[in-house]
Amino acid sequence: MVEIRCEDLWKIYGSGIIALRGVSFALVDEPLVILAGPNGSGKTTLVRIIDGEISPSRGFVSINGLSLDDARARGLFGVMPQEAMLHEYLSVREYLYYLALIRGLNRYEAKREVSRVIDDFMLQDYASTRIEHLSGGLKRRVLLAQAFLGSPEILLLDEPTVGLDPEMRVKLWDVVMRYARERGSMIILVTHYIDEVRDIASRVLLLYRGQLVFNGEPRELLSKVGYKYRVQVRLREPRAPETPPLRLHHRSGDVVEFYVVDDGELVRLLNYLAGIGDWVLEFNVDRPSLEESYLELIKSLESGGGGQRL
Amino acid sequence: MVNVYRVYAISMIYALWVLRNKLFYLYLTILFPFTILVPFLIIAPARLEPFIAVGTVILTLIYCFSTASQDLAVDRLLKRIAILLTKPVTPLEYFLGILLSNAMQTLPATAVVTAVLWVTGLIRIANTALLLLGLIAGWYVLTIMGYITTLALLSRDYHTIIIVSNSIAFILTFVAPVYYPLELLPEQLRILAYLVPTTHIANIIGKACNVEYGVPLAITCIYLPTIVSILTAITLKSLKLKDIY
Repeated sequence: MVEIRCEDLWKIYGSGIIALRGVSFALVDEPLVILAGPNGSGKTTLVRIIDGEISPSRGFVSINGLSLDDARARGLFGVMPQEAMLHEYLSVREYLYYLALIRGLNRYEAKREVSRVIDDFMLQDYASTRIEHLSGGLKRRVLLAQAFLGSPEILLLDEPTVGLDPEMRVKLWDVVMRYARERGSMIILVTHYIDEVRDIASRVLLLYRGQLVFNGEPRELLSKVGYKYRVQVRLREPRAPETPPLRLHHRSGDVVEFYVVDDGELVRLLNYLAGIGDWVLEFNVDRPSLEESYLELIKSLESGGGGQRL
Repeated sequence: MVNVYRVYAISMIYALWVLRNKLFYLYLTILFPFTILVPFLIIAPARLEPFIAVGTVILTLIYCFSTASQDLAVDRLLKRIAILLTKPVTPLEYFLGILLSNAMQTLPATAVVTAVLWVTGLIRIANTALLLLGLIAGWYVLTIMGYITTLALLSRDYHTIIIVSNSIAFILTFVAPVYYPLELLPEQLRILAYLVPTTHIANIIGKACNVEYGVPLAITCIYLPTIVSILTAITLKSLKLKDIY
């Protein structure tokens, strides 16, 4: 079992900036947690407190009941910080090897683990290259690979896909999913590409101005957007044949968008479209994205509406 | 419990930068001490030559002070420490790694410098065991001092740390009686000189090479174990890796 407990976390930096304001939550055996929020909302500060890099001004974090000052607690982590320079005069293999030893593996295990993460993150061609000679994207891959050394029980990945090419992003999600599935690791992911992982995420934590404003399953966040389906209809001519059966719709030229709140309403709309079939050139049904739901929630918070302040 | 592999890995991560930059390593640890040695030998009276030779050995050791403080400062500046902080490294292991790294960087250079001075007849080694003791004490005390200097300045920016550590390195090298005997210092500065570790490190190495600094060996024998104990206790008590942020 993996349990992360954060209790009333506050972080006030020396400059007076309040990065976190009383954040509390508990994560127990969550395979993949998305930590989202606008820039400056406190995500990276929260990650750095959880992984023991910095201390909170108030409150505490425990990992499986252990304080973060306990090296055993830090031994549970694999962390990819948002920004960190590498020891660039080392080759990729050397760097990963020394970090594997620091992680607590013996020489044999370290060599095996290094080969595995080099394969996982497609670094084979660069294994003997000094890090200083790698491109920015490849350095990010090395930074990412080191987090996976030693199969950690908790992976904290702070914007891991920034600077990665699309192929590597797909590969990364593959590796992340495999970890979550096969090794039972808990993965906490800070990302702006939340829809890329919506299907594998078990929980979403949303920070806004240092406060935790949402803590729930992705489907709960999706419900915040206020509709279940969005149906886009392109008409042959930019005029409605008759009044559409839905209150929530938006018209722009020959395109009408319907916001459908449940399955029954979708059936009614499809029947309606069947009835005016001659007018319909094409239509498309999709679901709202997590990103839209997230933006909707942020918008309501900015306009003074309540989030689920926790 | 100390994980030996971890200590070794930390030391290699730091040491390889210098060991791989061979020209830089040669300059800083060998050529630099000799560039000071040569003009001093030209302008100083002959009776000071043995002091200048011992001073050259001490200057090589002072590299330990500079690397210990600057490695930490650079790590903080470049946020490289973030990677280590998230690994199960204890402060003791980190400190031992830095010590070992400094040994790998400095002791070979010190051996080369000492050998050159010995071959050229600038120093005569009368007591090898005492010389080794002086070199090891120097390496340990100067490394730990560098470490503590940076820890004490962590709230300051990188440039301040570098300026302060270079200033201390200057005091350790030139203000303490290292390149000259104690008697050449003004009376009122002699008491202060007794407080500077390099005075006693030079005294031990000097004794091993029949160079008399005028510092009673008894004082050095009390001073060095005391300073080693105090600095070790301060380091182990105050060091938390998190503080590097």
